[in-house]
Amino acid sequence: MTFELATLFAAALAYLLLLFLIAYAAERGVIPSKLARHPATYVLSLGVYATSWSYYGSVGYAQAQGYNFLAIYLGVTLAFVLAPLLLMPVLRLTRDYQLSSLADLFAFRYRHQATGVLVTVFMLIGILPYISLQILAVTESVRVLTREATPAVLAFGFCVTLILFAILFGARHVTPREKHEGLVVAIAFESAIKLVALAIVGLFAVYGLFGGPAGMNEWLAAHPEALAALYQPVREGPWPALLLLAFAAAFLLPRQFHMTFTENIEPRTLTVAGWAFPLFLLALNLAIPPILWAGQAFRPGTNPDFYVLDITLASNHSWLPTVAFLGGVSAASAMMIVETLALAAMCLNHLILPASFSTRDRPYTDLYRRLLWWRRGLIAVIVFAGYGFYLLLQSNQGLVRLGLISFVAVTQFLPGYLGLLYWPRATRAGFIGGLTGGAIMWAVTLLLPLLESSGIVHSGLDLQALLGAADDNPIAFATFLTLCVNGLLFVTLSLATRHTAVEAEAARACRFDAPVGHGGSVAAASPSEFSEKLARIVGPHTAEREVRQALSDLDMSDAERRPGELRRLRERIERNLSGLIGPLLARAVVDDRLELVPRSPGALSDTMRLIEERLEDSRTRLQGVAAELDALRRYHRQILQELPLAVCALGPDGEIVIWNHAMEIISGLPARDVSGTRVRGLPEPWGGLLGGFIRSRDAHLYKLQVAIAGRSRWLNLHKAAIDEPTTTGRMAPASERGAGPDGTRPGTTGLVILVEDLTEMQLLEAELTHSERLASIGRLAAGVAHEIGNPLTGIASLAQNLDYETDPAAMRESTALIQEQIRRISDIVRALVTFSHGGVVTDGVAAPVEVRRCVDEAVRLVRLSHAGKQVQYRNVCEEAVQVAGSHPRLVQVFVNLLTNACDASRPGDEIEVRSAPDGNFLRIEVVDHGGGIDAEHLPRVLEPFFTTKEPGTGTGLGLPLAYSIVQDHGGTLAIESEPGYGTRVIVRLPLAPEAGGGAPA
Amino acid sequence: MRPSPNGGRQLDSVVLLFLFACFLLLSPLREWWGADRNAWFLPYLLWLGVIGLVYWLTRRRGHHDL
Repeated sequence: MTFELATLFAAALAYLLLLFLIAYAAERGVIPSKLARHPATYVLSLGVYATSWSYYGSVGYAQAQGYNFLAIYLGVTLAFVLAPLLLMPVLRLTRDYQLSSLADLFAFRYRHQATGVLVTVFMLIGILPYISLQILAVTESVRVLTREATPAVLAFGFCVTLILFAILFGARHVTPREKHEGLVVAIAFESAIKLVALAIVGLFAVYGLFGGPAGMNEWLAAHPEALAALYQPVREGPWPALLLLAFAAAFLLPRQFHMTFTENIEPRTLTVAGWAFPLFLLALNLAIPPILWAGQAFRPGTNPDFYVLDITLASNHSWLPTVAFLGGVSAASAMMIVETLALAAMCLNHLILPASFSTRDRPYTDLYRRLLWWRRGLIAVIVFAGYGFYLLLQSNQGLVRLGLISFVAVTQFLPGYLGLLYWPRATRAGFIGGLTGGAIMWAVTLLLPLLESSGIVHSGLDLQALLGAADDNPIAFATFLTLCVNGLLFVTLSLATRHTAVEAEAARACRFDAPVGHGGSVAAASPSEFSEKLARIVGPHTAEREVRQALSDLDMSDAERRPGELRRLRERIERNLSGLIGPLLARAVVDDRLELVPRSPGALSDTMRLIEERLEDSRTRLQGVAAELDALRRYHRQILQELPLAVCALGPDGEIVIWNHAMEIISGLPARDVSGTRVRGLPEPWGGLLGGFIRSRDAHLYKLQVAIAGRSRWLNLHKAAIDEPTTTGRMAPASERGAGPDGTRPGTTGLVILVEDLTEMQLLEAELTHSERLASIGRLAAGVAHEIGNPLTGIASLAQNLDYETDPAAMRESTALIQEQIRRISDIVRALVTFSHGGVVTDGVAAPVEVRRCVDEAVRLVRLSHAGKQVQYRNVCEEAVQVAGSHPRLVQVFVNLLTNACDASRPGDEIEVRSAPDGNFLRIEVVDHGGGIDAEHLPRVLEPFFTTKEPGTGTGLGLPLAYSIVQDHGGTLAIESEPGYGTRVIVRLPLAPEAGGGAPA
Repeated sequence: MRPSPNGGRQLDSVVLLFLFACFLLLSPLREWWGADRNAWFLPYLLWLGVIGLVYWLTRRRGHHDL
């Protein structure tokens, strides 16, 4: 059976069009996005690893090297076993810093333009044999099916078609930064086609040619040498070297890097790929031995590289070779499309842009469009370079040999990759030196012999023979030699050189180890200023779009002015630009246009906050001591956040860096809005309240009454400077500290303010005072009734007498007597009313109060009670001496003290109240000669609800309330007692200003 | 306040599995499974075993490390 060339070309074209339709449908949403994000799609897209080499070449390689062909996939399995250690950290890095290729990754870590250039150029040269392998495989497969020499134009036509499709798949978008869901779905579909096609061919080999598994086993039993030929090379061949090469290729080949990291849509899918991708490879390779044996049995003498096609020609159905052919086209096209896209991105960022990009004022009118066209041009150039290499080579080169040459090339990136993840000491010089050494050895040991065998050059240099190595294993020899030279130079030069500051920062970022930001704050003061400044380089359209994108990524408003937030915006723009023009140029653009003001005091607090935010982001990535320290930081942070006391910490320039939950509740201002602003920028009353407190000399303010949201609140404020710890962990000596602006001091890193909300306690206290007062009235009720009853009886008698009285003088006398009795009742009622309303919380304004009058009033009230009548009172307080306070509240104090004194006194005892000036205070003593208080009870008498009285006779609130009222007046209350001799309560109250000149609290 | 110790243990398991797979593929054990008389599908069975172990570890680890 033979096929027409036109038929095959039409079939291939139709297949590629179908692929494009699938990609287009995925991007337009016809194929649900859920499918593109499904782990199975991601795993199948990684199947781009299996190219024509796997599809056709594996059978040929199995013929020559037995089961060694499996090493190419087992090595990948080993790499994916280590996915949590090798792949996931890089996936996070590429996502965090928008690194789109291996060259971006290395240029980010080993910061230098030369790094990116070297990686790109070497990768380009190293991959060219691999691209030519695909062209060779397709043209040879056509030759097998048509049984004619393939016209030269076919390879060219194939290349042109692939350029068009590569552009359609990966270079249609205006911004190359976007993920290509369509590409991922299309490549996954291609992998599925490869798998199905190879499975069909394998089943045909077993059932169609051998007549079933039994037939195949019979053939194997009859030809034991066929099985031995598979196993023998494993024991003797380059098995370890192949494992190592495949291990490295699994993530270092440009297409693998592109699909694994750059096009990864859902990070969690990489976890699934850890087992599912090796399973896919296993399924793909299961058909290889049966196809090999079918070829050996039924198509001897043909090229084993194309047994996959050859054996299908034995069938009577034309669809079978077509399916096999399309499987091969699928493998080759997927590889070439993804590989060229990945290489084009590398060339653009590290070869083209650095040569043409200027950070001076020469803006591009539309950077996006320019990048798009550059990318398209590069795709064409790379495919044609592969085509040129294909033309140079003789067609008798084994497919696998070409692939392995590329594998050894990409393995040269392995030391740098491991250093990037796990050796912070690795330096740029080490990387460049190692890679250069490895690349030279690769060229001498593999590229040169390849070109020589194709008759292109004649050097006569045979390093393998020169070093006396066995001649049968050139790949193993090259792998060993290149990696030895590379690794040795990498380690030696890294140890011999030192990091630059940016390199050290990149090393920490790669290890997710205490990442730090740039020092300083951004000179541009608003997002619109960002756009203006960037427009001078990237053009107004791109600048505006990038700033808008960064604002949207950070969920930030374009009215943002906070220095810390603008720093975050700058960093986000740098990361986004990195996905567009590479990390080095992005840094150069941002450094040049969005310059930082170096090390202003504010920048320190910014950096602190920035580090906090980054640590929050990288929580699960820290390891070892860093993770422990982060856990400790979190714990301390949580303590601050959950503290039932409002905390607000300010940076040296007055910017708020901490605003805890309690502060959010008290103020009603969320930390997200407040963080980074200055205190004076806070809404009232907080701006004025905290600003005034910061400026005042007082370290503490007590019971400050503030109107918040129409309600009165009572607050205690405390502040303390945060001293910068010295290197020994000690605080700076007090003598070195002096007051600075905003209440901070030189040598300090800020200020911490604590806000205590006393409102609830204040209201509760007022409630208790009122209750106690009412209780006192209740206790006085009998006395009140008696006191009012006596004059009422008198009034009643006098009123009766008036009925019979005719003498006007006697009537006037009776009326006067009635009025006097009424006045007496009125006095009692007024005193009671005044007393009962005395507990209402006032605005705290103190007025001069005459103490003697308060005591008189209190005595009158106490006398109303039964016990109060049985003792004598001596008020010897000085007349006209005034204290600052509230009259009714002070009456309450004396009522409580005198009631206690009465209760403790025996009938006939005397209670004396006397006063004497004591500096700015008035000392008032209430002395009784009762039973006194036991020493064991004395410390507790000021505790609420503690009482030594009989149950039902005392609430235990009298003394604590008196104490609380005295404290509110800025005074003190002390008790001295001697059991059996009496008690002395000493109250000290501040004198009213006009009386003694003392200021009230 | 300590970071989850599970993360470290799971990474240890990953390294142990890697070393086990290396031992299987690179040690003289290769002489045993690579003997001429073995069934042709034996290498595939071993490969499937390693994949099974990776799957088991992945299930245990969950997606916490992403």
